[in-house]
Amino acid sequence: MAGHKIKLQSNDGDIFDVEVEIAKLSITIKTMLEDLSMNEEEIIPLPNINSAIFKKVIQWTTHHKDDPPLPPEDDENREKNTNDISSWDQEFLKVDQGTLFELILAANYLDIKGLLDVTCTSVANMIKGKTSEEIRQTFNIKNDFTPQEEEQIKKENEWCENK
Amino acid sequence: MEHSFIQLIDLPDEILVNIFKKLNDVEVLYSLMGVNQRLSKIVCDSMFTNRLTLLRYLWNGFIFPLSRIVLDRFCLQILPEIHHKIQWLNLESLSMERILFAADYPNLRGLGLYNINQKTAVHFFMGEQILTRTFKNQISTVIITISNKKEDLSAKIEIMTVCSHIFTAFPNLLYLNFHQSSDRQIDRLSFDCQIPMFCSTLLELHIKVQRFDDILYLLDGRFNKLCIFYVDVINIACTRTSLPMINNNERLSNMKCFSMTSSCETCFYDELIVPLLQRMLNLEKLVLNFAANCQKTFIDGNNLKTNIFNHMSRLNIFTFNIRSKISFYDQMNLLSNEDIKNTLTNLGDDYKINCCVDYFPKEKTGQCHIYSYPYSLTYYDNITNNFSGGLFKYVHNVSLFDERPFEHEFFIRITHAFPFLKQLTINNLTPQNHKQYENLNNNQDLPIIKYPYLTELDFIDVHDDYIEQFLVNTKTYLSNYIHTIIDYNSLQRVTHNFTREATRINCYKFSRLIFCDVLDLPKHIVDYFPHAEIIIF
Repeated sequence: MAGHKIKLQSNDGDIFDVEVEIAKLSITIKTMLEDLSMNEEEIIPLPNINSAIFKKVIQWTTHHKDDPPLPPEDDENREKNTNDISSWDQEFLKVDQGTLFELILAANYLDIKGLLDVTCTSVANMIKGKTSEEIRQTFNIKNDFTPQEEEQIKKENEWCENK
Repeated sequence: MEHSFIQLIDLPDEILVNIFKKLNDVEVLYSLMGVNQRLSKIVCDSMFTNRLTLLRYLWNGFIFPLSRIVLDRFCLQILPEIHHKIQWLNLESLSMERILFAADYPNLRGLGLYNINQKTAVHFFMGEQILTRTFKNQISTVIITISNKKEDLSAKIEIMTVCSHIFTAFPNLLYLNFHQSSDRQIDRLSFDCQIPMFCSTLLELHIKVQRFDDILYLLDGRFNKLCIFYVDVINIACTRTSLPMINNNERLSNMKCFSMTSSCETCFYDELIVPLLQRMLNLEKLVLNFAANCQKTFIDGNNLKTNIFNHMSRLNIFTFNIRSKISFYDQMNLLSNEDIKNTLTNLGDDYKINCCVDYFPKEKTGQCHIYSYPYSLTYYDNITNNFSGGLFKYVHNVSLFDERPFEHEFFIRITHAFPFLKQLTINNLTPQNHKQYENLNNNQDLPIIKYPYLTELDFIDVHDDYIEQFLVNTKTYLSNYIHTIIDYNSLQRVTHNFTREATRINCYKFSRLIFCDVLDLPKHIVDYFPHAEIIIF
């Protein structure tokens, strides 16, 4: 019922009073409330999310609580459009990379499809058009191919360069 | 907020895949292959490497090769490494040969060749091509769109010859989708020059042809295994010169799925369409989209049952959009919407069907539109005031016709039903009854109608009221870049000789005006339509 609240606890001990309708945007919490018959007085622990990230999640779900349901995904025909992030979401996602990845993990754990989509799209935008060296620099990734392995790849490719 | 130290590489594989799936496969492979061992392994998975589209679609629908840098990386590094995983390649004319030579593709089964120019197609399929020899036996699926700039007969024959050579180049072909990029009638395939064409393996064919005879030609036994046939035809008419030469009586007992679409009206429903369908005894799926001039009786549920359903005991999917027209000379015994609806119940409860019946006393004609719902076509013609509404999200081309006036409320219904409308043609000579909304103050109760995607607005035989409906800015909000075909004198009247303030804002947004009926234009029209290219036929 709108206005009713439940208590959710982050992994660093903070307790949040969240409207049931907003909390239920998370399929994980919705399932806990419905399938496990948890009552509204019980504190629901969220062992994978710290309070800073959970605050951001509540901020996002509160803003998007009245969004229409997402259309079913059609992988085959879906046009890959990474420009469709709303201006509110763009502003919301102006965070450091670590926070962005923590938001992705939280959205995945809480099963909030809209938040997972928009955070993944944001990272995809950071990848788009970059060379592999630029990707390593942007995301601080070490090249773990051995020189022999790189040499092997080059050799395998030589035949086509000479074609 | 404290900074977190989680990095991209700390995310589990399933989330990385989720991120990468937001990009197209070329973007994924270009940026992530070779970054490190884990990412390379993920992006080499079949979900990113099975089917590659190595071309760019631009916003305006044009197809271009990949940029030089991306193409080089694919041809020199990526394709040689993942070549054995690739089962399907979508390619375009300029880079096609280089990509196909960049590696061998032992598991390649399908080719999508888009916007292939005629010369390249001839070279690829008709020359002594090492490429077609390499893939000869392994290709089972081909999609090809040919762009031809020339319009002469020899160009047309050349394209038909290419079409016939595809079956020689790929003798194990199961699926072919072949058509020209352009939708001009003159570019359509027509097999009147009897180019030999056979294939004993083909199961599914999608093709655009010019005439009904071409359908009969393709179904005369030359593709003896064909069981799925999608055809788009322009002219459904008898051309008695070629019909006797075509075997058009034999039963098509292999045919399981048949789809025929034609955007031009035919007078030969009974003579051509019905006999063809009755040859397909084992049909399971039927799609019919056409308009017919039937003279005396509408194509209704009884007609479909007698002529089609009763001859196809296995038919379980029937999708249709059929507009039939009759002529009448008295008002007796005209069937109502309800009468037609009742006949459609004969088709069973499995179908959601809409119908709309209209009579036009001045023209002495009647129109019956029956269609299964949801509507999957991109066009919807001859909408009248009887239009029952609904949501038609695939439709972007609409024409309106009636002998009763279209009021402001009618256009509101149109924008709600067709939210992605791009082309609108209006045909109505009857003045509007409710024109009291001249200025903003009087118009507060009626919303301004917005057409956010409209780019082409054609006024064919319209009363000035409809031009005013679209030009007065308190009635309609047009987007930029509108093209229009319009009567010059009507436009001059509505805009008060190109001085009226109420129509200035919308006129500012036109980018092309086409007049058919004027010799000299006043100089100040250029000031009133400052962004419009003006064309006079």
